[in-house]
Amino acid sequence: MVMRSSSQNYGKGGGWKGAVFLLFLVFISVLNVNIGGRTIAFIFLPLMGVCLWPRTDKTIQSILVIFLMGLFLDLLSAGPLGLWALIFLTVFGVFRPHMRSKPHNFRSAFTLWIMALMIAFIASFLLGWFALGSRPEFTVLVYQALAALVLFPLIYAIRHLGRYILTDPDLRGM
Amino acid sequence: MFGSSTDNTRASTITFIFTFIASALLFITDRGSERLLLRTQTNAESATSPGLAMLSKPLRGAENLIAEFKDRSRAFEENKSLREELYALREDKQRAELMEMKLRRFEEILGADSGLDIPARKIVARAVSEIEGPFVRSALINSGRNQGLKKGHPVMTVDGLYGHILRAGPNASRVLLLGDLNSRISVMSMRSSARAILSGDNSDLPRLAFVDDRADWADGDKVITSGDDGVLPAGLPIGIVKEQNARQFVVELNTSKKNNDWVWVYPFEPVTLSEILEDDLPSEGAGTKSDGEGLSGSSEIQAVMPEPGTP
Repeated sequence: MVMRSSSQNYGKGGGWKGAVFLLFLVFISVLNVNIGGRTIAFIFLPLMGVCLWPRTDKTIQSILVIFLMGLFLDLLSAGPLGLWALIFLTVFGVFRPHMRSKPHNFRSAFTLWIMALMIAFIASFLLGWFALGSRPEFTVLVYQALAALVLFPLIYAIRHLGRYILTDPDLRGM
Repeated sequence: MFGSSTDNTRASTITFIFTFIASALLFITDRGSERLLLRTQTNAESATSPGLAMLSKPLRGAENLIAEFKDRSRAFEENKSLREELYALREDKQRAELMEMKLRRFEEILGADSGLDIPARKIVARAVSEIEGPFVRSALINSGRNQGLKKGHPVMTVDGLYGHILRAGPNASRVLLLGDLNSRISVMSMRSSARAILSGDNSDLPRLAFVDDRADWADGDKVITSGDDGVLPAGLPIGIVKEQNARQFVVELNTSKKNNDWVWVYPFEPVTLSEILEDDLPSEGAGTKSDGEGLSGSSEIQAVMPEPGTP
């Protein structure tokens, strides 16, 4: 399967662009908002950073950054260590977002996000069950997945803006 | 499998497999055991708490703004009800003062001391991050050992008990909330003094466990800490009892569905086993005494406070 054309400049970005975006999402994900008496957290949000991983970042650095960010999220969220690292790497391994041939448009990114969210939902439910020894609260998990789904346009727009500001003008169309 | 024209594909694949196995190993070894990298976790929390505090400010500001709008819209009715409550409370206060005076006299006569366990000192902190997820219910507060916080100290909000300190870093602490799966608090009914254990299950309504068949629990009972565990002081308000099924009770927490921004911590020193032994045993032989001291090293009564990470 041909993933990329030879004219594209990959690996130019090291791993920092994806890392900065993912770190931003990790911080946002451990904050909570109280809306109408219900506390809503955004634990699935960092996964968006993995799904929309920049194509210009180097693969090895990207894998290492995703692994470390997963562990960092586990530490910050006080959850089972390795849970989010496993989920991030699974999503990265299944979708290989850094190897897409064309930049995402909104529709393709949203489709990818829904599929990644489904995988993450099932994986977090099963792994959480294994780690806790009892079934995780299903409704809380559903609320968090819905919150992450609703917030996708906003995060996509922030990423788009960040890409526009940070990317070399010659590479913007890529 | 991975990589591109600029990356070594085999190296990328090896890196991926290596990190995946490392994650799986960490996940498996962390399960049901003492948490790995505890110091790293504490340091990470301390390092990130100022950033989280900064990021949470606009969110808390927006929440407070919305809450203020709601308050303003019902200010007139609230003012009226508050005035009525104030009149009732003035009468209650007079009665309470009278009762206190009587109680003091009885104590003097009997030579007993039934004073409150709740310390007068409070350490104020801000909840910078609250996680009410499917796996864990905890919060990060921006005070730690440097401010006098220790593991086990009760954390309060204006509405009641919020949780207790799970681990204290230099400038930040992790609070285990009452609804967390690992939270077990010894409680009692304010009406009947019936005892039970408040057991969190990662839901909004933790249940009352170990309820005796003869124990007098009823819908609407106010739940407070009993202090039986020796870890938390008696009398801290927790919530209201709801009977879900026959003799199956859950507690609607006072602190749930609220904007828990500012909190305070009571620097309550738990009752240690050494104190109990010193009271119970005659202090004659040096051997007996040293036995008691030996136990006290790790003897804080932890029966109802499982270690972090224990399912």
